[in-house]
Amino acid sequence: MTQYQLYRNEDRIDAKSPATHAIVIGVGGYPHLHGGSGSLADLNGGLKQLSSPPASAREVCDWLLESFNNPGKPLASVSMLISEQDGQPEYTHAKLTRPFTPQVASFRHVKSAVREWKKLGDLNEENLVLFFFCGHGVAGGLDQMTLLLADYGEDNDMPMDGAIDFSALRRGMAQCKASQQCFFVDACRTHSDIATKTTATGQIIIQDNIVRPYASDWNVAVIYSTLGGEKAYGRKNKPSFYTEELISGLNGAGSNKRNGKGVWRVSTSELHAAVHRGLSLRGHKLKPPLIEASYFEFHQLQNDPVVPVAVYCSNDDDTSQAVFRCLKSGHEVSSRPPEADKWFTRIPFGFYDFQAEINTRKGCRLGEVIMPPYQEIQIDVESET
Amino acid sequence: MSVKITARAMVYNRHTSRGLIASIYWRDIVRKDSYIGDYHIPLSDQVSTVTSPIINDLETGKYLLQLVLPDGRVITQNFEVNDDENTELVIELPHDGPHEWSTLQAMTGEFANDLLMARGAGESFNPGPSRYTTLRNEPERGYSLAMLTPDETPAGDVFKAGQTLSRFSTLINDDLDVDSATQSLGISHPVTRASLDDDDFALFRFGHSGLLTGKNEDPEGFYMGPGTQLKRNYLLQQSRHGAQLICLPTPWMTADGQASVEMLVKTHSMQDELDFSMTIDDPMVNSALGYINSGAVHLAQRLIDAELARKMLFNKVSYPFTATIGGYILVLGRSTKQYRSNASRWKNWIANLDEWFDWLPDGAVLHTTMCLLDSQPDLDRARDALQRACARGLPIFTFGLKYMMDGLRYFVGLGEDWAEESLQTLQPIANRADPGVPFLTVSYSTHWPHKQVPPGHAYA
Repeated sequence: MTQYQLYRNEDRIDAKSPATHAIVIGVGGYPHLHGGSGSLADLNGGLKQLSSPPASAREVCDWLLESFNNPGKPLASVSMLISEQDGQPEYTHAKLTRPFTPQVASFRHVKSAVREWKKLGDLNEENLVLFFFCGHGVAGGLDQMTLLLADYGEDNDMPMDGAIDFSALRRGMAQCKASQQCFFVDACRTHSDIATKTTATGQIIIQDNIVRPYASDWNVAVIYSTLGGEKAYGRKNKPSFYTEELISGLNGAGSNKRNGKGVWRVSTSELHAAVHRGLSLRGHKLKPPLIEASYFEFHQLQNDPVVPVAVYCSNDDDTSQAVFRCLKSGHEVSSRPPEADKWFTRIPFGFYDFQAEINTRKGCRLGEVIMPPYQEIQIDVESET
Repeated sequence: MSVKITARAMVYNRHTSRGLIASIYWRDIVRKDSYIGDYHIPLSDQVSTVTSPIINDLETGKYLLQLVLPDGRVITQNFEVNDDENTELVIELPHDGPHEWSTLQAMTGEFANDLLMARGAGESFNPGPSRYTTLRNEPERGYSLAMLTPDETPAGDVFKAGQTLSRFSTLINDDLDVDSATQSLGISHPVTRASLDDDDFALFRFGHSGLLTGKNEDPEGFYMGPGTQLKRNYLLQQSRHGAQLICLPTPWMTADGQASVEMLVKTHSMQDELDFSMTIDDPMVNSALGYINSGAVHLAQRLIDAELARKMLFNKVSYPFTATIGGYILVLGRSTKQYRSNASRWKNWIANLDEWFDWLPDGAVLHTTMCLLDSQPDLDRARDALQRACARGLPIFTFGLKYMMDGLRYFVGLGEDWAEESLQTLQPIANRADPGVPFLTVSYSTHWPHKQVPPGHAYA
């Protein structure tokens, strides 16, 4: 176990058989941005402290330890780096023998951890590597993305010393043997003039070289957040909206059962679609950098998928007055009292009945199949006589 | 027994046998083999009679269909196949766009949320004074479009044979104001009116000859065989956010003649952000571009599968832009084994797309990519093609610029100085490129010359 790894399966690593290696980075504390404990960087772009990236990182690690399932490429390592605004709390999980204190997500630590993660990916060409980042980012043009780390702005002569050039990292990963590479980038990119005031794009961690020296395919998928505004990242001690949608996608909304074996598998493309469909309901959409998405399946569900469902009445006025119920085999599964908006809920895959009731007026949809990626249930309620 | 499935939308006199992708499942979803297959679903308007392909392999039973729209939405519908009965399923697609004349844009998810801000789908366009004509009078606060055809009008300093990229890059680095930068591009023709507009949106329809108004079409046909030259058209877009150059993909030829290129601009909130969408008046291409932009590259690859993409490439002389889309579809997923195993069937056609069409940088870009992805990369051919691509200027497609840069990075990795120099030339262009649109759009100036602006005087 290294200082960055909260989980390491020595047997799987020693065997050098196909495996999955993950690195999870959550940067919420930025000492040199507004509200931070250090001197304010000149090139601060108005950026502030974020409360949700550490929570997002923990949520993703929880999911990896509890739910990630790839029988052909089992989980072999998870690295975690976090930067909190206050302190550096331990990470605990039932699967860990002792609490883990993450290293601060500064450039020095992130560089070492990423290189360590890449070396693990190099153990087998059939490996899967997963990269998750939540924090501030600066995007520009076609495919440029810079991720700001905890020591961003420490030195006003070169504030980008505390940042990594993610685009170069992604390209440089052509040098990693792992043939399946998935990057999840949840970077708040709005209200920042940093991109327009510097041409620096952050430090390069792995040589920017797309000449892949291996015979295996290079399957790469990058799923960016498209949500604008810091509100999505400032949810007090709660994971970001992107993280919520990512986990929802991994738990089923991004899965398919097209393999003919009755197995639900999450693919990169369907996960991308599920995440962005979910985010589109959450707020203003930003344009992501140019999408790069090879299609590959990388996670197999162990339970039936949980599917986002929107229930509403065909008449908008009825929607706000209706009591909605969801039933399975005649038994109520869940319900919602009258509220202003549609009823957004998540229920496991299967057959369900839906009811809407407004005083004595009723409507229903019977025997609806609920399956990924999501379902909209529109109910016609009897008109008033 | 046969099954016919059609999706219907307000696409007026347009139809395609490959409009959308649907997955069909047994409704008895508990069974392990509930997934039956993916099918191409025809897309047509409300009144046309379209001969839908017949699905013959569905047994008697209850089924579930999931239809994926280009904006990522999924429509689920149940249907039954009964003994000795033919089944016909018509799926009415919801119209969420601001107007009935913006269906193609709405289907790709553009402006779908603006319905409430606008006056509804059924509203006719404004016959009175146009909002666009007001906005274009003062583009630093409003909005204006102009068409630039360097081969036909006195060119400025930028569009010189073999030097367009370096000169355009220099122009960006010089950080000129909008007026000066636009002047150096050459003389452009102002677009004085929209094809259709109201107080909220303006639609501009372009053919190779210029703006199409009303229901006019561009009747001109084109022979685009080996060695023929074709003028390139660009749009210059100006607003308070600066000026952008858009590569206009004309003439977009189809079996039915020249398809218009449609640009929808949101004119009611120019202060906040510049919101526009460009698409092709071809439902299949529109769906494919929508799938790609929403991240569902696999659906674009199912809609235009390898066989169809190969056919599109084959017909490059008649339809060079759709041939280019076919090429991009094949390489976008980067499933390299699949690519390698099929490439021998059509790689000569990619080479021809490069060598026959000097005016199309994307052909040379695809040729480069193909040579580099081969199991035995042909570096000499890739280098030649890439240098040709750079000499031809700005690619039509945004993906073209990306693959151009990836190719250059490949040769930079091999230590080749020319590639390093070309990459540095392209970088400012890439930094100013809009990643969210299929056709290359580059911001060439971000500020206006200083002018006194009366306080509070702005279009909202």
